[in-house]
Amino acid sequence: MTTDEFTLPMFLDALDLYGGTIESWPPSLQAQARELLSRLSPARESLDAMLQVEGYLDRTRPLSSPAAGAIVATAMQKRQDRPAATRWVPWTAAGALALAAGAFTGFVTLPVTPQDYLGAALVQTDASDVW
Amino acid sequence: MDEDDGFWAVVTAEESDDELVAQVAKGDGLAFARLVQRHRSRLMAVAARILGSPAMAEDIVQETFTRAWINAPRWRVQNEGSAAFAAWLSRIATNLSIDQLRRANTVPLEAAPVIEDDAPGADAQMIEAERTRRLHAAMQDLPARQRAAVALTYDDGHSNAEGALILQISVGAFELLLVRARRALRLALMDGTEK
Repeated sequence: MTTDEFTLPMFLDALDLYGGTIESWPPSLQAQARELLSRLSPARESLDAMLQVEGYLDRTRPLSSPAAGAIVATAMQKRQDRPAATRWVPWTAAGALALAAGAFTGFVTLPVTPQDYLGAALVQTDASDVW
Repeated sequence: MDEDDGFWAVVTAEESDDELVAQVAKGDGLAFARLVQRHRSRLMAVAARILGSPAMAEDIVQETFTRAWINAPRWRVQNEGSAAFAAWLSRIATNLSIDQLRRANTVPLEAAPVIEDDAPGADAQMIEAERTRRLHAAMQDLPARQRAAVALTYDDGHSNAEGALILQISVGAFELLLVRARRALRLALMDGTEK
């Protein structure tokens, strides 16, 4: 890519992708970006706006946070507060689901219906005919 | 620095996150405290940026660490890697913040931070205050995931690849979120249009 091909829209796309620090852009774009900045005031204004955005994000980062001791105490208390029964709920539910699934699978894959078994039993009352 | 940093600085030794999580999995409260001390500030920054409310962010940080304490044994079995625990915490805090933001729909807009401007003139201070007000409003208008991309990049220092992993999207999708967010914020200072 030559310098002439690096247009303002391309500069703006790169600005929004890589941020306002030109030094952190891909090396292949840095020289072209600087050349464009030296020629076009809209490019400079956009870069200035991006730097202000990033300055704002840096200035407004919250510096305080909850005290570590309070976080630890609350977390430990919450784990203790969990009812013992609720700790078994997932396993109980999973077990019941597995049993139900097994029973259902067994039922639908039976080769014959219960009536067939009953009929076979009746037939076999005359088992002596077979042997 | 918070009031309890002096004490925790003493107990915050050189153990890696992995070593501490292994101890937490066995119920070691002191190891848990060290992890809290190590990660709470950055999680607070991420949550506050997404929610626009430090008060709500404190609840998110608490819930994140509560989940970490409860789920540490399970996490240890499933995950390994030096940065994995930090990213896991970021993911929990980010997802909780996004959910909270979407649930609340309209998070009360807290006052824009006061700018301490070294410029001597009142005009310069007024211009700076107006810029900050615009950016604050533009930030509040960003969709939740764009805010998250900004927070993970600027407040938590993640690369695009790490941010994508935390949000569980592709790197390209993360970059798109970031591009849209940066553009919206930049245009908020430029009267909404490219010159």
